[in-house]
Formats: sequence, C-alpha cells, structure tokens
Amino acid sequence: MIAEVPLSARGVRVRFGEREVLAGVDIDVRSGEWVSLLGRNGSGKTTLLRVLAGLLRPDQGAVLLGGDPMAGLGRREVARRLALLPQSAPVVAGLTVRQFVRQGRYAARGPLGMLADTDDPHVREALRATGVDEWADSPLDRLSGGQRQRVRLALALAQDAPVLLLDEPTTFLDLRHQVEVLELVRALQHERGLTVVSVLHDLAQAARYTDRVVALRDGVVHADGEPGDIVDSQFLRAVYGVSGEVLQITTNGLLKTIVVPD
Amino acid sequence: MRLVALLGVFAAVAALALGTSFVLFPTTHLEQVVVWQLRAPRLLLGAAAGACLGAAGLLLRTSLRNPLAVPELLGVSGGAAAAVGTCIAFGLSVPGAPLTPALVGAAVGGALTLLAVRGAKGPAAVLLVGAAVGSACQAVLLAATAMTDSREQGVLVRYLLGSLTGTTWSALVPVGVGLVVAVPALVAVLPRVRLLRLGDEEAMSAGLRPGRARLAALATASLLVAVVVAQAGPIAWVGFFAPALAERLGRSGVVAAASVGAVVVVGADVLARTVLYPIELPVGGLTAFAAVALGLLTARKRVRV
Amino acid sequence: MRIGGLGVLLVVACFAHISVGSTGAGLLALFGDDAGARMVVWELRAPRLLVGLCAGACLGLAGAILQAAVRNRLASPEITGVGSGAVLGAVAASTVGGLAAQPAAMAGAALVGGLVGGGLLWVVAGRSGDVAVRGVVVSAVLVGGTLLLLTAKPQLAGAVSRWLLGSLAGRTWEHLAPLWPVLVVALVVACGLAGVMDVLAVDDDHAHAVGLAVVPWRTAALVTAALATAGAVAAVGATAFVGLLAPHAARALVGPLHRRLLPTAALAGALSVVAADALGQVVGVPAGAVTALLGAGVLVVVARRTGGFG
Repeated sequence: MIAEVPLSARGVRVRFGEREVLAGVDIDVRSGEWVSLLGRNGSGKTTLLRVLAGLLRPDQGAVLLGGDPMAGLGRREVARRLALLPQSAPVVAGLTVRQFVRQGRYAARGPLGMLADTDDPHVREALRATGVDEWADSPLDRLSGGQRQRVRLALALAQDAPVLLLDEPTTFLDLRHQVEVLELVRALQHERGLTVVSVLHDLAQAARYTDRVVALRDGVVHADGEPGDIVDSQFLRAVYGVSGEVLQITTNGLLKTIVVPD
Repeated sequence: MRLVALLGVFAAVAALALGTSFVLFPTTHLEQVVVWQLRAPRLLLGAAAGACLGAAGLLLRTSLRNPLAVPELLGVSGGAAAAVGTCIAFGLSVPGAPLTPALVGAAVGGALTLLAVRGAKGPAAVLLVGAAVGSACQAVLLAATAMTDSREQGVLVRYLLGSLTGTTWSALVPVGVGLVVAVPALVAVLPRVRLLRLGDEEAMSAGLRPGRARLAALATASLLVAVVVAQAGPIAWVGFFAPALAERLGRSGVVAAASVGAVVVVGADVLARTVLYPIELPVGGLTAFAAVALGLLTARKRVRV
Repeated sequence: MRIGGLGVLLVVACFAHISVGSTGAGLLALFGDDAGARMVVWELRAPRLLVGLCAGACLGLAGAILQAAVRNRLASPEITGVGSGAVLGAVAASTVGGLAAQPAAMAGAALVGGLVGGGLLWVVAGRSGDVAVRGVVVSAVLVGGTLLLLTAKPQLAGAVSRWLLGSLAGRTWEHLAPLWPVLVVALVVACGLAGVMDVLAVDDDHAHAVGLAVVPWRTAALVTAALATAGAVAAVGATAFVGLLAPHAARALVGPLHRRLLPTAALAGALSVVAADALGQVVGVPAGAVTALLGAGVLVVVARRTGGFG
C-alpha cells in the first residue's frame, strides 16, 4: 500500500533560539517522484530534511508520513516507511560492509532479531543493487569515500522503505563518484518506484536528475516546480543571490542546465 | 586585576588574622608566635604554590596550544605526588628529597602522557588519556598508602589532595631553592612560548625551534609543579583554573595567571581552616570543588550558545 | 578459536592464582587428606579466585557496554562517575560502624553510589552528549569527596586506599554471594542488547535512521553497565584500567560486533583481574596496583598505535 502523497509537511516552523529557521513550510511529495531541496547555506533545507525524517520535531506544524502524523508513529514504524541517508556517519573500525548493511533491518527485525547471524533477502538485494556485494566482507573503514557512500545507500535500501531521504549525498565525492551515486539513486527510483527527497548543492545536478525542485529562502518555500520551468537567471538571483545566466538545452530527451555566473 | 589585588590583600590579612584566636595586631608573645611562626609561613607557601601552579598551567596551555593541557591533566602533578609519596612510604632516602623525587615524578608523568596523546584527535582524547595516566599515578600513591602503617598514612593523604597543614619556615627553604632556579627559567622561556602561540610554522619563521622551545616550557612547568607538590601536594586543579580565570578577566599573561593562582590558594586555605572549625579540611579539597563548579559553569554556557 | 586461546590463558591464570600463597597447597589439596591445606584452599583461595573472576568479568563487560553507549573508546567505569560513585558509596558505608563487615550492605551502598554517580553525570552532561569529558569531571568530584571523607576519619586511610585501588585481600564466600547474580543478570541483559549496541556504536543519526530510539536504549545500556560496575566495586574496589582495556583486547580478538565482543570482554576482564591478583600476591601489592601500572603502560602503547583511540 503506497499512499498517493507518502510524505508531506504542513505549516512546519522550527526555531533555534532566537532564529526561526523554518517559518511555515508546506510541501507535498508525490509517490515515485524525486524532489530536491535547494537554497543557500542557512536557508533551512537541511533542517527541513531532518524534520521530514523525524530527526527533529517541529515547534509548530506536522509531518504526515503515509497519511499518518509522524508524531504518533514509533521510531521503528517511521523507519519501516522511510529510509534516511544522513550527511555523514563515523565508521566503526573493523565493521564489515555486510554487518553494517544488516543494521538497516533493525526496524523490521527488532532488538532481539538483530542477534541472528543471517542475511535476509533484503540485505542481499541491497548489496547487489548498489554493486557493493564484491566487498561485502571487507571492513568498511578500508573502502574509499565513493565506495562507502554506496554502502550507506545499501543500508538505506535494506530498510525496504518506500521513501528515501538523502542529505547531501554527493558531498566529499569527486565528480565521477557524484555522477555514479546520482545515477544509482535514479535507477533505484525507477526500478523500485521509490519516492526520493534530497538536499543537493549543485543546481545543475539537481536540474539534471530530479523531477522537481523546491527552493527555500529565509525559511519559507520560495519556488516549487519542475526544473525546466523555474530554474532561470531570476531564480539564480533570488535563491542564491548570484547574478548570472542559466542556459538549458535538451538533448536525447535529457534536460541539461549550465550555470554561468556574471 | 585591581579586583584580584584587592582580594589578595583581603585573603592575606584573613590568613594571618583568622584561626583559633583572632589576631589583627599581635601584642602578646603567644600571638606573635601564632602569627609569625604558624600563619605567616603557611600564607607564604600558599601564595607561592598558587603562583607556581598558575604559571605552570599557563606555560603548558600556551606551549601545547590546548586549554586542557594543564599540569593536573598531563600527569605532571600526579607523577610528582606519586614519586614523593612512594619515597615516604618505603622510607627511601633520596638526596634533596622531597624536591628531587617530585621533579623526577613530574617529568616522568608529563612525558608519559605526552607520549600517549601524540597524534590524539581533539582535546577530548588528550583529556581522557591524561585522566588515565593521572589515575595510574594516583594508584601508585594509593598502593603506597595501603601498604604503610597508619602514622605515615596521614602524611600520604596530603599528597593525594594537597594541604598546607603544619607549614613551618624550614619547609619554605626547599621552595625558595626551587624558585631561585624556576623563576629565571620562567623568565627565559616566556618570550619563546609567546611565539609558539602563533603556530609552529610562524614560530619557525621567527627563528625559533618549536620542538626545543616546547621542551623548555615543559621542563620549566615540571620544575614549577615539583616545587609546589614536594611541600604541599598537588593542590587540585589550580593549574587548570587559574589561567582560565585570568583569561576570563581579560588577562592572558603569566603574572595574571600566577596572581590569580596565589589568591585562590590563599583564599581557599583560609576557608579550609575556618569553615568546619575545628576540623581542618585539606585545601586541595576546596580548590577541587571550586574548579569543578567553575568547569561546570563554563561547560553549561558553551552548550547554551 | 581466539576466544579458545583466551579461555586457556584464563584457566592457566586460575591455576596459578589458586596455587599462590604462603603454603604450597594447590587445587589438588581439595581432594587430599591434609585438612589444613583443604581449609586454606576452600575457605581462602577459592572464594578469592571466584570473586576476582566475577568482578573482572563485570568490569570488562561494563567497559564494553559504556564504550558503545557513550561512543568513545576511552570510556570506562572509572570516568563515567559510576565507578567512583560506587567507591564513594562503599567508603561512606564503611565509615558507618559495623557495615564494613557485611558484604551485602556494602554491595548495596556501592550500587546506590554507582547509580548516583551515573545520575550525576546524566544531569551534568544533559543533552550535550559530551559524556566522556564531563565524566572525567564528575569522577574527579567523587574521588575528591572520597578523599575528603578521610579528613573525617584519618584512621581509614588504608581501607579507603584499598577501595580506590582495588584489592582482593580477604575476600570470602560472603563477598561472592551478591556478586555472581549481578554478573549473570548483567551478562544476560547485555547480550540481549548486543544488536542494539552495534547500532548505537555508530552514531545517533544513524541509529534514528534505522529506527532505533536512542535515549531509552542508551539508558538501558548505561543502567546495565552501572549495575555491573557497582557489583564489582562493592566486592573488590575500583581496579583501574580493567574496564578500559579489556574491551580493547576483546575488540582486537573478535572484532566490533557486540554479540561476540561482550562475552569476550568479560573473559578478558576476568583474566586481567585474576592474573593481576596472582602477580600482586607474589610481589606483595594489591591487585589494583598491578592493573593500574600495567594498564597505564598498555594504554600508552595502544594510544600511540591507534592515534589516540580515534
């Protein structure tokens, strides 16, 4: 059962001390689409993602996950419906890829179920889909940054949740690995019908890979729409405070965006 | 700083005047003995101890560029106390005791911690390794205490917490000797330490060898700590919070750190003698609680920001 | 098989421990005709050995739990307020007349002290999560408090030192009675929590993301660690470094998964305390002095090799 709107926020406000980081945000994420959150540093995009993931409780407003208010769901129930790739996580020395990815099954198996020394099909499938099964028994701390990011994606996939949240999944990766990770996410989105929400820094990548961009400014949604419709020089100035040209060309049915600052 | 000076004068007068008999102007012979033979040397030792610990704390903090690198956390104080305590417990007669064993212990304790924390990530690791070395030093002292008879145990307890009880003029002699060496060393090492504060590369471009300068600073700090610990035990945490307190008052110099240290120890000792009169608390117990209170206050603030 | 090696070492240490003493009697004396030797082994050495085993296992287990729950490889009972609180509780109880002779009362006092110490750290650390650094501060306060008690009763200096240090001298079956159930309960609960601790050991955000409610589970882990620590401290005293280093040895042997790590850490802890006590009896110092000195050396080596424990 997949709700038509698996994830939405209603009038979300978050305050850190004196500063209101989110000042009333409404967003509906439709089933099967990839939404990217854009904005300058401090615009509230990571905060919004953390609210959507249930890591941060909004001061006002509510998040609906699969139609139910998130505040009423237990931590495990949330994790069964939604997987999150946090921005970064320390690596436990000596823990193998397989042992790490198995932790994605916590929500399904529970504290005592984690004691069993078996892989369930979801773990095997997640290792295969992300192409990390060849290093499954190597320690995570021996892998490169790009490989680690794939493993972390495998962990999120192993949760077998219909919604996937990604917090800056390409930070710290070189261009090739950035493209690899984004391609992988898109393939998974299409194969499995995943609903994806990500924070991205690169405007061109967001426009190229995601179905919809939501731009935040000063804690409110400034623009919301398909990248081909709304990303232009005016958008650039309003969202990032940068004056410049935005060129968009479509080749082989793919939208490509080039940003040239003045 | 005017506040510190005022508090200092106040604490000094209180140290001389308060006690079993309140004496402001000694007139009788007994009063003169009490003030000049009992209270005055104690006041002087307290002031010297506080000043030495404050200065040593500042030296270590600055030369290692880490606010947690203080004698108490680097095993310097603990090492000195353990060495002196062991000598007393096993009745070892060492030439120049208690200053020599204190000096050796301070150097060994500090070196051990610095060896262990080399390459440690972040101040937390330094703190934890230092705490571990400190507890090893304390264990030596405790083992010595557990294995001696009760007469010497009282003496050893002083080296666990630090105390000024029973200070006489003759106890001040080794302190004076130590200071004759330590103060010129401090004066000599200070300008280099100031350069180290800028960073190793900057210091090098100013013609300084950072490794050597740091070693000199450590040696001087060990000497300063050893001078104190040999006579009064490791008066807890003064080396930690005297420089921190001076910094809060807007002074980062060695004079400020030393003055604050002296005022704190003298003031704490007055309290230690009078609060639970006639029971006398070890001054180190009071300074320990003061340090913890201060540490918690600052830690709380940092969280709120 | 590496656990097997640890087990063999433990058996050897136990044999050595039971054979050490002023009379030459060993384990075989239990089956011999010499009633005196049988008495010595059964009434003096056997309980001392078993108390050492159980207390060491408790400390190793507590250290392994704390390192996962606090997520710091340098965490140990000594620096979380639990160990020093337990010592303070035991020492405070022993200043009350007559209680020192009742091991169960001492265990209760140590448990209360340990929980108060842990609670104090909880209050002080609040939501900052900076448990390790503040634990050092809280521990310093509690040790300071213990030493201040000495001012009230200077004649206790020897006893207090033994508590702060850790000593197995004169331990009897009475000390074992409250200790072994504590070990069994702590071990069973901890092993049940092994999967949770694997997740907790990574990161809070990670734990939330996979669906683990961090605060209640971490609390459960910390209470288990406090229980194990208090049991050990009530029986033998602080015994420095066992709780810090036994989990490291275990991690080097069996890796980071808690399902294997927790029992191995308990074994390593038991081995360290028994071996330290055997050595200490030969040299003539309390077991805690041996673990403290050897532990400091090992710590320096480990810290250097791993760059300050990462």
